[in-house]
Amino acid sequence: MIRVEHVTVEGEGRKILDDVSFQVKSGETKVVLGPSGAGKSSLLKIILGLWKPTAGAVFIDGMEITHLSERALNPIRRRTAMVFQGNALFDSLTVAENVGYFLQEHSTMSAAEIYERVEDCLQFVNLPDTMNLLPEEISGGMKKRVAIARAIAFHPEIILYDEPTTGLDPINAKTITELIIKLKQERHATSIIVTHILRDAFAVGDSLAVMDNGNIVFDGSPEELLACELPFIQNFLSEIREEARLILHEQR
Amino acid sequence: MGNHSIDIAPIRALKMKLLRLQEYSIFAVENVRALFAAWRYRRDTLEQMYLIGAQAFPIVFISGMFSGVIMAIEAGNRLETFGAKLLVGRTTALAVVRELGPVITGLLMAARTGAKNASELGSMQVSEQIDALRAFGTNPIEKLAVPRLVAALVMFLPLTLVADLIGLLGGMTVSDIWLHVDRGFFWHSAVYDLKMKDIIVGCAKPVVFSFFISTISCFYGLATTGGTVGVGRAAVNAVVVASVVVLFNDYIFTKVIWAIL
Repeated sequence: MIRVEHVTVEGEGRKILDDVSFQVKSGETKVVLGPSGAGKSSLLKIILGLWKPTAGAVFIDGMEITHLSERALNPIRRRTAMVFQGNALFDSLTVAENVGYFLQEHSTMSAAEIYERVEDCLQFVNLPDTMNLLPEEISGGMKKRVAIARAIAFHPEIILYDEPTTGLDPINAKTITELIIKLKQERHATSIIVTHILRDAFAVGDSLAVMDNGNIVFDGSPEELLACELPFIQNFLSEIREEARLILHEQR
Repeated sequence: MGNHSIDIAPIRALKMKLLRLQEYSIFAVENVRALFAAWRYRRDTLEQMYLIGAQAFPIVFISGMFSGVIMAIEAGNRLETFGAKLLVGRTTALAVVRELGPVITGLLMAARTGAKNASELGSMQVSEQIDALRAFGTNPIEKLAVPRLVAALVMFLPLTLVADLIGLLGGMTVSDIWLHVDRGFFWHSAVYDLKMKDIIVGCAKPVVFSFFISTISCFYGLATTGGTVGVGRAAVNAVVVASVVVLFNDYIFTKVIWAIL
C-alpha cells in the first residue's frame, strides 16, 4: 500500500505540492488527474524517492521512505517501476538492452533467461521485431510501449505512469490505454497513473484524485467524481461528462 | 534600499559560488569512494577509454607536433642571435616535456572530454534518463561518472607522452631543416639534459588534470537544468572551469615542484 501524508514540496519560491495526502491500496489503480502544472509529476517523483519533500512523509507498505538515503531506497525501487512522461529510454542502448536493463543490473538471471524475458515483454506490448533497434529509430508510440515493456520486465509490485498517453495520436493513445488495462488485469500491480486526459482516467482508474495548484481537491471513486459539485470539478469535467458515464456504464 | 540590495547581491552570489564548490567537493569525494565501480562497469569504462583516449589521438598528435615545431623555431631563432642555437634541443625538450605537452594536451582534453561529458550527461539529465537510472536502483556516479574518470586517469598520461614525443620529433625535424642543427645532436641534448624531476612533473600533471577535467565536466553534466539551453550552458561552463583549473593546477605544480625538488 502507498500512503502519502501531508506532503509539501517547495521550489523556486512557490509550493509545488501543498499538504497532499492520499493512499492507494494494494492492487488498486489510482489515477491522479489535473491540469498541467498542478504538481502531478512531482508527486510521482516524491513517491519514488527521486525528490525529497519539504514536509510530510510517504509510506510504502507501512515503511516511511521519505528520509531514506539513495542506497537505502534501492530495495523499494527494485519493487517499483516508473514509465516516464518522455519515456527516458537510454538512447545509447538498443530496445532489448533497455528492456533488459534492470535484470542485467540487479538479477542473477542468465543472459538466455534475460533474452527470453525481454522477448516476452516486447511481445506483450506488441513490438516483437524491435529488439535490435535504437530508441531514435522507433516512433513516439513505440517508444512509449518500449518504456512500458522496460517497466514490467522485472515484475514490479508498483507501477507509476507519468502522462502515459500525452503527445500521442489517438490510435497510439488507445493502444497504450489498452495495454495499461491489460497489465492491470493480468499483473494486478498497484498503480498510480498521472494524467490530464479524462477519458484515460475513467477507462483505467479504480479511484481518482484531482489536483489543482498543488492540492488534492477530490479523492474518490469515478462515480463520486461525476457526482461532485465543486465548481472546479464541474468545469474540469464539462466536456467529457457524458462520455465518462458511458465508459463507466460499459465497464459495469 | 538601492544601496542595501547592491550590498546583498554580491554576498548572495558569493554564497552560491561557495555552495557550488561544496557540492563539487562532495561529488569529487563520492567519485573517489566509488572508484571500484569501474570494475563492475568495465564495459562502460573500456568504451570511455576508447572515446576519450583512442579517438583523441589525432588531435593530440597534431597539437603535440605543432607545439614542438613552433617552440623549436622560436627558441632556435632567439638562440641563434646569441650564437647558441645548439641549445635548441635542450630548450625545446624542457618546454615540451614540462609545460607544453601536459598543458596543451590538458586544455585540449578539457575542451574535448569536458564538452563530451557535460553534454552527454546533461542530455541524459534533461531527458530524465538519470532519473530512470536512479529509479532502477543504479547510482549515476558509479555507472556514468566513475567509468569516465577512470578512463581519463588511464588515458591522459599516454596521450601526453605521445604529444611530448611527437613534439620533440617535430622540433628535431625543423631544427635540422631550418637551423641546420644535426638531428642526433638535437636528440642527444634534448633527452640527456632532461632531469628526473622534469619527467616526474611531466607525468604527474596529466594525471592531476584528468581528475579535475573528468569530475568537473561530469558534475556540470549531472547538475544540468533548463532543457537544451541548459545542456549548452553546462558544456560551456564545464569547458571554461576545467580549462581554468588546468592552468591553475599547472601554476601550483610549477611553484610546488620548484620549491621541493
